[in-house]
Amino acid sequence: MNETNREAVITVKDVSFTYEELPEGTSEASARASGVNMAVDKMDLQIYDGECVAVLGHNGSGKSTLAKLCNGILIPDYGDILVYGINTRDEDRLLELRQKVGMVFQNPDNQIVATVVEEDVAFGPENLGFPPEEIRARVESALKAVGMYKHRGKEPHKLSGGQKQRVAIAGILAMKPECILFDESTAMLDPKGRRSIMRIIRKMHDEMGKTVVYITHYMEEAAIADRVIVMEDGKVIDDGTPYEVFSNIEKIRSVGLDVPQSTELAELLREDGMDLPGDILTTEECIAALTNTLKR
Amino acid sequence: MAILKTEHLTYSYSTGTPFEVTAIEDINIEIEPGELVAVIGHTGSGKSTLIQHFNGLLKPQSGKVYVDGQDIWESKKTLRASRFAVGLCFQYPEYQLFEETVYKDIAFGPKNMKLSEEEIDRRVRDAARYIGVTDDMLEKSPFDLSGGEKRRVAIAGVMAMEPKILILDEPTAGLDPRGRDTILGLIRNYREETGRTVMIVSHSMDDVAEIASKVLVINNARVAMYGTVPEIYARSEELVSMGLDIPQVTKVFLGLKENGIPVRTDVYTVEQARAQLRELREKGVLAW
Amino acid sequence: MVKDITIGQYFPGQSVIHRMDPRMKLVLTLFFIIFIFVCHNFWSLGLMVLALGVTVALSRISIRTILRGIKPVVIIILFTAILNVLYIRSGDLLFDWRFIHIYSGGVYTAIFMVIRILALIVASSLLTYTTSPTLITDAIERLLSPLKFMRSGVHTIAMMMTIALRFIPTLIEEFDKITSAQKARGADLETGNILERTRALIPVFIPLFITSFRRAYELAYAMECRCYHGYEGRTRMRQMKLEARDYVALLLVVAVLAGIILLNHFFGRLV
Repeated sequence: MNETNREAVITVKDVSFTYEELPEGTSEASARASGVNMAVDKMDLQIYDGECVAVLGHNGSGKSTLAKLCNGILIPDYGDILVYGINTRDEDRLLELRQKVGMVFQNPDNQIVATVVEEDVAFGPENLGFPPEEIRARVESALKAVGMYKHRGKEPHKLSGGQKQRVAIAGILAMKPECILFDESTAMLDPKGRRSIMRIIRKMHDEMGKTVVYITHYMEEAAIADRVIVMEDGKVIDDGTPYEVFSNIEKIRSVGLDVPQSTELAELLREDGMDLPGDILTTEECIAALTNTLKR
Repeated sequence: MAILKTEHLTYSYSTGTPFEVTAIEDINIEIEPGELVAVIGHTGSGKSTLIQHFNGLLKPQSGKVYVDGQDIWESKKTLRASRFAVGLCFQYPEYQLFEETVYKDIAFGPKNMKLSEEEIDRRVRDAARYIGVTDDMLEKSPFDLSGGEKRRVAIAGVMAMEPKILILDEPTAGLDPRGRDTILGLIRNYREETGRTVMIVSHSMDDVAEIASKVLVINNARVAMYGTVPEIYARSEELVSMGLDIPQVTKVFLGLKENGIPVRTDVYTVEQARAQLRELREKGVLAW
Repeated sequence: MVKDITIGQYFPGQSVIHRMDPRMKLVLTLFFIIFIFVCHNFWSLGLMVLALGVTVALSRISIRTILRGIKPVVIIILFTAILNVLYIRSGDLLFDWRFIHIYSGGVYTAIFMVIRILALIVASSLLTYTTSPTLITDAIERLLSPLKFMRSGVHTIAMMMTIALRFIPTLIEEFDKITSAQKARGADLETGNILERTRALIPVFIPLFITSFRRAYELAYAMECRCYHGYEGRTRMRQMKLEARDYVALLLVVAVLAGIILLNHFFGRLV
């Protein structure tokens, strides 16, 4: 990744956070000395403009905490997070921050406010005080972008889980954020719903030019990102392209995560002397490489 | 004799209105005792409606359900007995926990069965052991546990009724790979230790293929397939056309076959895939 | 049965009544209800019923739906009628048997009262039949918003109403799910006396409350992330605009009121 000439939009600087109650003014050293369990532990990370990043980790690895820290829902106990130059501690600029960085949560039911789809999508822009015509235009384009325009007059509880989640995404898109965080937004969906959300996530990055960060524990989902960050015990333990990360099969397994079967198969076949190109992650790549080799 | 049998089971929602939907239609299945059956189908295939017939939560609009040879709708008594003979654990079961302690919560089912104190205690401890609920967890409040632990407590609550058939609806939903492997491993142990019948409902073949002995595929309200895991995987193309998820290696082998490479498509683990390719090389069919 | 009660339900549609500005509908419904009590003879009441009948026809709500709405209050209506018939002693004596004395005045009053109650129910349910709960909430918020001192209070209540309306179906679904889960563990929710049945609901309500609290927290986060910060600076996508039809409706209602007053004046007082 050509990081030098890209602008960092999210900068995590030496951040630690614990869900445990710390007495006012506890220094980091004394907190650590007393054995406090840090959900995010001395983390340093930069997300660059226009990236599509997957944060992979098992439950309790700190990945969701990281997302909440980036949106100012949680404030770091130590260190700072700068989002588009705004420190998340700066309460006066929280609205500005949240307009720039939208967040989609896990449970689609618990983020829909209104009783009609289009009114829910309008909720964000309404809070931002845009004129009615502007809100209407934003709502329509957001609903079209997620393919829910024809359902705009429906009641949310009559939609499937995947459709509800698309409405939730439209609600964020309508605020026109520069960056969108997805906090395990596919975890409660069936395979079909999951695929539809992943397509939309990619589309928002590829076609709409948004910076996208999604938290997941499904390796299939992480494999389609441009950059994968692996978290364990509140720390980043791996950071690179999907292939760089997943080719280290032992390491991924050791933290309780899966490796794409294609990557693993390719690795095993190389042991058996098969000459395969690198970078095999997806089904298609694996089929192409094997066909190529075996047809010779 | 089959432990579970259905005859021409049919059920629709909103009958008599323009919104009528046939959820299941003419379902005829026979499950042998001791099997671990994976019930596969996508959302809306009718699989959830089907399993709610097995313990009498839903009453068939036509057709019959027999548990251990007994028609469950014969009388009030047989119906109540079926609730205990078929233990049904719903999706996200952790949201049904309510007692002050894990122990009491697991004991809720056995208590409803009006068993003696000693029997309840034995069953709670057995169930806890099967599903990895430790003794110190038993005295905790269920609300102080982690997500994965809560899930296991809820499953223990159904296991403690010692049902002849244990049915788990998406027991791994929302869990990470490690949580999923733990739960599936524990379910496998339960079945091996008790020899009782288990059914696991899932969206995808990936999760359950490794531990299932039989697979029941439900599609469009009907039984699409019933057979052993290799038998079902031999028909992977059909699974794909039903919109069901199959493991990535199976997809790879389907693709290879399509590209004219003479492979069998009944593989579902990486090891099987490697073994088959090695075998084909030894036979001289393939070379690299 | 609970599901037979249609009062408060909403039937989506495209009729002119459906499309009216909900604020105007709300105000005119209040007018109508007041008229019902202004009428004091059959002539003015007749005009009022006629006007209501025309409104029902325009709304395209079926007569069956209207009748179903009346069903739950039939007993109250009958009771009122019987009391009036038995206790009002004016006009001619029509029937006299032991302790039952029925006078013409009683019969007239009873009929008058029944029509009044029916009109009251039809008028108010017509509002809810043709206006979604969200719109009613919105209309109340906007009607009260000129009262500056209570603006933020009204906004908060309206927002709470909207969220409640949004989550009622979700919670009902949740309730059904938990009930099934506990039944599958042998919970007996259908037999026993009231005390036993109430106790049997504990395993359903505790999980339901816990889930609801979790939902509330998550929803609050989600709302904050969508820049919700109360009433200040918030605009609305849906604008309520009075259109020609609303002014026509207002004019017609005023005309009906004038008619009622005239008829009241010319034909004297019954009650």
